[in-house]
Amino acid sequence: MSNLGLTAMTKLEVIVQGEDLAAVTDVLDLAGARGYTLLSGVSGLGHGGFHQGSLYFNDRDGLHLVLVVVPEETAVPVIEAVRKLLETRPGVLFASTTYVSRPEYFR
Amino acid sequence: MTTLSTSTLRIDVATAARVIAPLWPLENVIAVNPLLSSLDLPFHHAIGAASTWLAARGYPDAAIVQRSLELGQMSRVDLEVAAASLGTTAEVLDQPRARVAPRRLRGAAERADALAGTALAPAVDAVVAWWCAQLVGSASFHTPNRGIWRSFTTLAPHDRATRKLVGRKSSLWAALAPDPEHSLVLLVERLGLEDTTILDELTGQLARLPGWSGFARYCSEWRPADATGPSITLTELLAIRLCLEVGALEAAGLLGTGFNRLMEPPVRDLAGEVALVALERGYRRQLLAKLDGSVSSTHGVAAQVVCCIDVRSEGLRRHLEDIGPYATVGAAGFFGFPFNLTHAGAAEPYPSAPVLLNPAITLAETAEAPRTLRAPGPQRATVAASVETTTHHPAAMFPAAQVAGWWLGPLALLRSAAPSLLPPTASNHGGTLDLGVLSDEEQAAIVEGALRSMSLTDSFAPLVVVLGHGSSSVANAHGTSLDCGACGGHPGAPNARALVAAANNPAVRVLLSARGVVIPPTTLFVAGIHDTTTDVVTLFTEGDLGAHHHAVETLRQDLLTAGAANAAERSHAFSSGLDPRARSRDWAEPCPEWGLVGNASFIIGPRSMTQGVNLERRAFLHSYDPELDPSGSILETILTAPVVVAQWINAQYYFSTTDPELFGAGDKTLHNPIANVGVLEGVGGDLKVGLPRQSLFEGDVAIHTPQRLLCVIEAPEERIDAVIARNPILRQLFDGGWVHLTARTSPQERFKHRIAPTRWVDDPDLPENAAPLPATDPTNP
Repeated sequence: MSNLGLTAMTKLEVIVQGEDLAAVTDVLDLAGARGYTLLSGVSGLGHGGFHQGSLYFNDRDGLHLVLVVVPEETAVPVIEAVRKLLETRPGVLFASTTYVSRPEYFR
Repeated sequence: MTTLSTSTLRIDVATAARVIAPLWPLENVIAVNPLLSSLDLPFHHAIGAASTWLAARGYPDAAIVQRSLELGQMSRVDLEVAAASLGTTAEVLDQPRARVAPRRLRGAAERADALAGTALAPAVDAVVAWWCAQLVGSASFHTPNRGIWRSFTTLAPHDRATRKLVGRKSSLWAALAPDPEHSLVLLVERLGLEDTTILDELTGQLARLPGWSGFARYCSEWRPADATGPSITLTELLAIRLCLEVGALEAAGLLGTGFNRLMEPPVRDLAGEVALVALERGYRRQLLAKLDGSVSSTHGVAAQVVCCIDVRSEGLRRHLEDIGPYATVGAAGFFGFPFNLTHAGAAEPYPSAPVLLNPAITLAETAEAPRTLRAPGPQRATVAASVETTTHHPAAMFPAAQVAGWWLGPLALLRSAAPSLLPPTASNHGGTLDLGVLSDEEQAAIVEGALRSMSLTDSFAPLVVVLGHGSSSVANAHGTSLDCGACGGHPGAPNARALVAAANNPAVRVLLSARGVVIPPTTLFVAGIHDTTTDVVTLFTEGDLGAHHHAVETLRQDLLTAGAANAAERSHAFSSGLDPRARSRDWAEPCPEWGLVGNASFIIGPRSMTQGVNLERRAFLHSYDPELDPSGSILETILTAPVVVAQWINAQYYFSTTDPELFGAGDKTLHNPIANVGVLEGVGGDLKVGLPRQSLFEGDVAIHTPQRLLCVIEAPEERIDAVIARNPILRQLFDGGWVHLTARTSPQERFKHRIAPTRWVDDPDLPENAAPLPATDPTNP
C-alpha cells in the first residue's frame, strides 16, 4: 500500500460492556490517541452466550465497540492495558494493520 | 519493583473500583444495588465476596424475622419449609450470628498497623476524607484550570493535620508529578508492590472509604462528560490517598513492612439464608393467592390514567378505581420519552430519564406558567434557585442572612412551631416544553413506542391522563431519593408533559394511525403530577378544554379524593399516625414519607391481574398484554430497563436495612451536606452511602422488610426464557438468584416458578428445587 502513498497504522477494535467503556476511553486518552469511534448496541454471540444488541430503554447493559487507529508505538500500551482488562472482564480485542491517507491525523 | 504505565494502572483502578457501587450526588439521588459489580456472581456468593473487603451483613436479622412473624408476613411454617429446603431446621435461627470482619487487610497502612500496633490507617482515612470534603466541596478547587490534584499538592504541604501525618519535612511532595495519573504510578512504585498485588492494594484502599470511592466511581464512569460542578475521579482520589498513606508510612518508618494475609474463610450465614427464603416464601404465598385474574373491561371508562410503575402509585390507582369508571395503567415514569431538560432560567440541562439511558435530545422549557394553583411555575422556580444560590455562596450567605433574616425569621419560627399552618411545599413542576427540536415523525415514533410499551394501543377513553410523580419535603438532603427513579431522581412532570404534547399533536395522530395506533379525535391527553408525600394530584390543563371540561373537572376531584384516601391509609404506617401532608411541611421531620419501603414484587401483566387487590404499596406494576407481543420485544423492553432499575431500588432498600452501618446513610439528624454531593454524619468521616436510617427504621424497628424482588409475569414461559437467554443482564438477575421469577400463561393457568434456565416448577420450596449452594465459596480462595 505504501506505493499508493498510504501509511501503515495499527487498527484496534475493542468490544466491552458499557461498565468498562470509560476505562477503555481513558486508556486511549492516556496513550495519546487522537480520536476514536464508538458504536453502541453491538450484538452477537460470545462464549458466555448471546448478547442482544440495542435495547430500547437501556444504553448501559449492551456491548460497545471502540474503533481506533494509532501508530504502533501508541498501540502498544493500549494493547497491554486492554489485555489486562480482559483478564477479568468480558470482551474481545482485535489488532490489525491498516493504512491511512493522512497519517498526521493519527499521530 | 515493577514498571508501570499510566494505561495499565488505569485498568487496575477501574477493576479495583468494582468493590464499591457508584454513588450519585444529592441533586439526583439514585437507588443503586450496593453489590452492583457482583451481579456476575450468584446472589449468595456476591454476599460472600462482599465480606472479603467490606464485611457486609447481607441477610435479615432476628428482629426482622420476629417482626415479620408478628405482622403475619410469614409464618412458622414458612420458616420450617425454608429451613428444610436449605437442609437444616428452623432452630438454626436461635443460634448467635456474629458480625463478619473484612477478610483482607485493606492497604499498606492497615498491614503496617497489624504488624506494629499503630493506627495509621484510620488516621489516613480521616485526613483523606477531610481533603475530599474540602476539595470537592469548594467550587474554587474544581475549575478546569486548577483541578483537584494541583489544588491538593499546592495546599496539603502547608496543612497542619497533613504535616502531622506525613511529617514536616517529607520528601514526598517534591517527587510527585504534576498530574494524578503519573503521580499514582510513582506512588505505587514507592510502595514497592509487585504486579500481582497492585490490584489488591488499590481495592483495599478504595474499600476503606466506600462513600468517597463511590462518588469517585460515579464521576469516572457515569457522570455526563459535559457536566460541571463538584467531581473527583478515581485516579485523583487514589493519588491523594496513596500520597498520604505513603507519607504516613515513611514518617513512621514502616514503609514496606507488614504482610497481607487471608483471614479464616467466612462462615456461611445459614440462619440468614433461612430467614430470607422464609420471608420470600411468605410474601409469594400470600401475593399469588390474591391474583385471581378477574377480568376488567375498558367499556364505559371515562378516563385512562397512566401512572409510574413505582410502588407508591399502587395505592392511588386502587383508590381511584374504587371511586369511578377509571382504568389505570402502569409504565416507567419517564413514559418512554427520555430527554435532557433545560428548566427556564437554568444554566445547564439535566437528564430526565433513567440513568441507564443517554438521552439524545435536549428540550427547553418555555417561560409560560402552567394554569394551576398548586404547581409553581418556572418564574417562581427561577427566583427560588436564585435565593438558594445566594444563601449558599460563601461570600453572600452572611449578608443575605442579615438582609433577608427580618422576613425569613418569622417564617422559620412558624415552620418550627406550627408547620401545618404553612402552605404545601411543592416541587418545580415546570412549564410547557418546546418540542420543536423533534419532527412530527420523531414525535410519532416516541409516542408509539411509549404506548406500545404499556400495551395501550386501542380502546382509548375520552381522557388519557399521564401522571408523573415527585415528592415534597423541606430540609431533606435526600429529597431527590423520593422523586422518580425512572426520571433520574427528578419529578416526572416534564416527561408527562412532553408525551402529552406529542400525543395531542394532530399531525402526530395522523402518523400514528398509519402505524396502527388510532387515537380518536375525541380523546384528549392531559399531563399531571402525583405528589407522593402529600398524595395531592395536580392536572396541568391549558387553554379551553371544550367538551372535556366536565370530565377533567370530575377527574380532578376524584383524584383528590383518591389521594386523600391513600394519604389516610398511609398515615397508619407511622406509629405517630401524623397526617403525611403535615410531614411534607415540617423541617424537623426526618421521615416525610416512607418512599419505596416494603417494595417486594414487580408485576408485569394486564391490570386485570391485580385490579381490586390491596397490594399494600409493595408492588411495581407494569401494564402488559401478552396478546399484543408475540415476538416478546415489549417484554424484553420491560425486563431490560424497568426491572433492572427496580432491582437496583430493591437491592438498595435491602442492603440499607440488613447493614445500615455499611450501606445506609446514618442518622439524618446528624447529616452535614457537602456541596450537594453527599452527606457526612457529623463533621467528618466518609461520605455516607445508601438511605438514611429514618427512611427505613422507626427507632430500632426496621419498617422495610428486606427480600429479593419477585417478578410476576403473565406471558408464556417459552417467551420469557427466550428473552432472558439473549440478554446477559437478565441471565445475571434471574439465573443468579438476584430476582425471583414466577409466571403464568393466562389467568386460567397455575403460576409456575423458574428455578433455573428453562426449568419451571410448581413448588420452588421442595428441597430438590432449592438453588444449589456450594459448601465453599469459589470467590474466596
